[in-house]
Amino acid sequence: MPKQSPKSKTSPPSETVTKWLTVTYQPVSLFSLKRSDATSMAARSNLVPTPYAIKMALLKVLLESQGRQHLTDFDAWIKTEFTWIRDLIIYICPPEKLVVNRNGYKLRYYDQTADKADKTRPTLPMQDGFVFREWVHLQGHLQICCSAGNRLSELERLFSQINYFGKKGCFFQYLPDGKQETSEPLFQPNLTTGFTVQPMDDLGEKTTFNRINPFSTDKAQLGKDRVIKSGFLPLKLVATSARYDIYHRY
Amino acid sequence: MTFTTDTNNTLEHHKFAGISLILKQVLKQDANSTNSVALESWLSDIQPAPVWIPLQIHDGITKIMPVLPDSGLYSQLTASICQYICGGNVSQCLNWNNKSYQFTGVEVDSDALHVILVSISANEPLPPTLGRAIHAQCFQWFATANPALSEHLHQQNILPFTVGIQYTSRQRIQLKITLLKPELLAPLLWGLSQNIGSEITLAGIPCRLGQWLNVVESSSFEKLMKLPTQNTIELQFVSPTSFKQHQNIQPFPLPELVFNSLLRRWNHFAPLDLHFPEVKWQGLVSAFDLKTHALKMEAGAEIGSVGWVKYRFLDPEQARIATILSRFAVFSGVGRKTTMGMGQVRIKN
Repeated sequence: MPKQSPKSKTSPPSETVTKWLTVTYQPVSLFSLKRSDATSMAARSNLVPTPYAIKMALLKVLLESQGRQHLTDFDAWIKTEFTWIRDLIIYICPPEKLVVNRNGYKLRYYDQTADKADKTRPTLPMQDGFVFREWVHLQGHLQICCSAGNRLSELERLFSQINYFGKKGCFFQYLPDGKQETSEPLFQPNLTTGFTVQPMDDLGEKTTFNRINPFSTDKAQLGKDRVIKSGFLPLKLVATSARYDIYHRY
Repeated sequence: MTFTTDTNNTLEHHKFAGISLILKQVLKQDANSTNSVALESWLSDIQPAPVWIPLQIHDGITKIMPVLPDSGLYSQLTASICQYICGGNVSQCLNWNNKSYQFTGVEVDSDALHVILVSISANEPLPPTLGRAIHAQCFQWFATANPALSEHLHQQNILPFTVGIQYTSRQRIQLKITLLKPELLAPLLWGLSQNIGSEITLAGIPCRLGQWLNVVESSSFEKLMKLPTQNTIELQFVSPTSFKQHQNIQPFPLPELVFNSLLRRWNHFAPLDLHFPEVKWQGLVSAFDLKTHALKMEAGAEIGSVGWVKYRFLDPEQARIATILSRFAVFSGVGRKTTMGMGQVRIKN
C-alpha cells in the first residue's frame, strides 16, 4: 500500500465538499450600523453589514419562525442551530456606489442616571443631547456569500426572511432571482485592485448562544465571543468632506 | 471580507506601478485619545524603506505614496501593509507633517500610462527653452533609482516617457512628465523624491521643486481600446510639433504624419495582442488654427506648429483606431523631440 502523503491526509473527503450560497439584497432604505469598537453615542457607521450583524439577523428570523415549535427542547435545539450559524464563513460584496452622510441631531433621550438616583419621580427623566449619526445610501445590490455546508436550503430559507440588517429599519429586500449555489466562494477579497478597510466583527469560534442571549446571565467577552477582524472591501474612496464620503466599487 | 493567505500568491504575480495609502484627517482631540505612530515609522522594517510622497489633494482625499526604487518590490510592500492591518493596527492614528490621520484604505495602481505634474520655481527668470535641461534631469532621476535603467533608456530610439513644460510665469513652470511603461513610475518617483521640496539646478539656474506631486491622469492600453469611436477628432498642439518627412522637417500636422507617428509608438509599447495593423490613412483636415513657433535649442532653432486641428475620418475602422490613438497622444506626445518638450497635445472634443 503506498504511503499516504501528509497533504492527502488533510484533504476533505469528496462528500463533505463545502457548498457556497450567495444571496442578493436590494437596499430599500438608508443603512446605519454603529461600529463595534465605538464607545460613544456619536459614532461612525460600518459601510456594509458585518458577519456578526448578518449572523444575528439569521438568528432573529430563526427564533421568530421556529422558536415556538421548540418550547420543550429549546436548549438542545438552539445549541445545534446556533453552532452552524456561528461557524458560517461570510464574504460581503458591497453595492456599486455608497454615499455616507454625516448628520448631527439634537434630541432628548432617557436619562438612566437620574432615574436610578430618584426612583420616586412621577415623570420620565429626559435629557438634552446631541448625537452624530452616519447614514449610508447604498446604490445597487448587496451580495452575501456564505459557506453553507449541508444546510443550503435551510440557510436560503432564513436569508429570504430577513428584511433588515444593522439598525432596526435599515430595510433590505431579498431578491430570489439573485441566489446562486457554487462549489467555491463567488467572490473573495482581491488586494490587487485596492481596498477600503472596515473593522468586521464576527462571533468567536467557541461562543455559545447563552453568551449572546440578553436574557442569560452569561457575559459575552470582546475578543472571545465577539471578535473584530479587519475587513477588506473592494471600494474606492472617490470624494470626501466633513459631511460626506463617496465610494465606488472596484 | 477578511484577509486570507491565498491573496499573497496573487500579489506576487501582479504587476504594480504604484501604491497609495488613503488617509482621512482626524480631529486633534480624537488623535490624542489613541496611540499614534509616525507614518514614516510604518513599514520601516521593509528594505529598502519606502519614501513617502504626498499627492495633491483631490476631492478632499489625502493620498500618500510609499515609493520604492523598483516596482517589483510593491507586492512585498502590499503584503506587509495587509499584515499590518490584520495585526489590528488600523485603529491607530498616523502622524504625517504634524497632522493626525486615520488609515482608510489602499489604492493600487497597475496602469501603464501616467501623467505626473511637478511645479518648479526659481528666484530669477527662467530661459524660454528648458527642454534639454529637463530631459537630462529626468535621466538623472531614473539613474538615482537605477543607473542601468537610465543607461538603457538613453540608448533607446523611442523613449517611454515625454516631457512637457508650461510656463505659469517667468519664474515658475509646471513640469509634466508622462510615462508609457508601468515599471517606470517607481524609479522616477524614487529619484524625484530626493528633490521634492528642495533645490535642483536647471540650465545653471537654481530652482526649487514643489512639496507635492500630482499624478493627474493614468490609464492603460486596455482601457483606451474600449473608448467609443469618434469620426471627428480635434487635437490641440500645446507645444511646437513637427515631423520628419522624407529627411525634411514638416511642421504641419498632416493626418498621416500625426496618426502614423502615434501608431508606431502604440505598437512599440502596447501588449502584442493590442497592436494595430499598418493603416493607409484617409483622414481629412476639416478645420485648423495653427501658427509656427521657433523653439530655441542648443543646436539651433526647432520649428513646430502650435494651435488646433480638426480631423475627420470617413472609414469607421480608421475612425476607431484614430480615436484610440488620439487619446494615447495625451501620454505619448506626437512627432519629434517629445522628451524635450515638443509635441505635447490635448484633446479638445
